[in-house]
Amino acid sequence: MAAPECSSVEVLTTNLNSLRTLRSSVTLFFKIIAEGPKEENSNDGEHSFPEMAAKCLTDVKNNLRDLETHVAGLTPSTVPVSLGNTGLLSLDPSPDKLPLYHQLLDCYTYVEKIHCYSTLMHSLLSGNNLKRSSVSLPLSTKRRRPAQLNHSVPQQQVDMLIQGINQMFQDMNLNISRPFGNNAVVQVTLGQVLRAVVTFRGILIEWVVVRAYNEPLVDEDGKVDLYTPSQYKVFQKVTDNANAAMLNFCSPGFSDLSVRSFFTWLHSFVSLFTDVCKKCNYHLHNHMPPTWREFRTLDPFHEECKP
Amino acid sequence: MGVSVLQIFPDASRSGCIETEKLHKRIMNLDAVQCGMFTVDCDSYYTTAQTGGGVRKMHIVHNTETPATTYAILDTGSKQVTLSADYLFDLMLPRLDHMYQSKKNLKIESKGAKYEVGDFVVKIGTVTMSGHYKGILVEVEYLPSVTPALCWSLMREFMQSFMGSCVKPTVPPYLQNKFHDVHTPQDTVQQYVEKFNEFREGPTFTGATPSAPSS
Ligand SMILES: [Zn+2]
Repeated sequence: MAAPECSSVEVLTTNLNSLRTLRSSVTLFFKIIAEGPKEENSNDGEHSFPEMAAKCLTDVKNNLRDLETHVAGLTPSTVPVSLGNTGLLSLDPSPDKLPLYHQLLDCYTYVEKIHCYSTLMHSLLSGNNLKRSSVSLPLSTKRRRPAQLNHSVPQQQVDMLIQGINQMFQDMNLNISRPFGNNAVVQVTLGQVLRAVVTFRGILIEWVVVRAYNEPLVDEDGKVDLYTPSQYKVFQKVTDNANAAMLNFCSPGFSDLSVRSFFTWLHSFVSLFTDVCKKCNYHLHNHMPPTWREFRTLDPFHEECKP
Repeated sequence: MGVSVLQIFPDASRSGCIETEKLHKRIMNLDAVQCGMFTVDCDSYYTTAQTGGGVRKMHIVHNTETPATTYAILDTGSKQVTLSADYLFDLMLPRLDHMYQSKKNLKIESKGAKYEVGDFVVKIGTVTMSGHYKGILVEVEYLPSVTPALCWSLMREFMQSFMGSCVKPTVPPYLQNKFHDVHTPQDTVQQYVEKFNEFREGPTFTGATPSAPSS
């Protein structure tokens, strides 16, 4: 979150603290009332019962005033926070029994931080890859978060990117859908060779599954099948390699470019069955066609012939 | 399903089992896994005289890969029409006997072991007609691909790796005609009928003859 929001979080914390103080002083007051006056004869006499009660009431009054002043300092959040379906989790009637929502929030914060740090690291390392030891950046740059996070971009931006890629290749058809809310799922049909499902998170590619042209893209319920691997060894291998390529092309600073490079690489599989290996000049090695494409040149190689 | 190619394996020794044993050894050297048996059988019917016109043939084919289906292939000589029906179609055939009459001595089948090699399925079949040994017919299927155009040369390389030079570099005529079409089970069955006809019409041992259409 940005800097002003950080301070508002601190204000919120002090508010919650003063609320807690108020509640404990109220509890103390009720406790004294419930216990009633001490026995008459044990006259240790520092404070009589009415005095004690009156003092507690004063505390309550002071604490209440503190809370009111604090609350007045709070500003309602101007940015509407859309939590999607996860918002429903907060309606869970027994959060004590199911700590799901809090775990989810922790997880979300954690992932957010990782994305943020990785982006910072990327820009640091790419800028100074020859003199890594002498990285020195002003504190302000270090603290500044990137203007835009890769995993939370507007839908239109992803749509436009995918459409652009769709028009780059005649024989590769991309079909975008959003079965799980905000994040896009792209179904790829490449000639009559293969079909792939590419799951996005924001503008980052999260997961790729490649299957044969004649294997179904949807599961029994008619939903896009994101996980089931291909039943054919060659496409299981291509799936592995596609995920490796996805990681290789991923670069947090230039996510558009990395997505485009990935699809260019995937498109080179249009000749999966017709290419011969660049090294051994055969179609088959271990009964597999060349399942590897070099990242830069897109040259076909067998798994065992990789340079 | 993938793309299937049929290849007659020449059997000069005319013994059958020696050559299939040789193929079995070669295929096992390719890390094949044997996975059961298969049978493709074909009954042929001819039109009776009273229907008029030229004599037409009808081939009834069963393939253990598609056990619930009966294939009926009408063969007019120049054109072939394939009907895929439920296996109960067999029960209807006796009712057609005024039009089609069975030629019992032409009943032919290919039977043998099935292997998986990577994404390939190889079936090494011994062909017998009315109980007489006729030759060896090998079916190779490449599962991940759907059209012959994409995977023919890859399949040729695979077939040559265990059958050697009897696999010709040119595309078999049947596949050539359907080179860019999506391959179907009917295509496999029609290729079987084509090869069965070669076995029937040719000499008892056809594999090595240069007149085989696969050359
Ligand atoms: Zn190679």
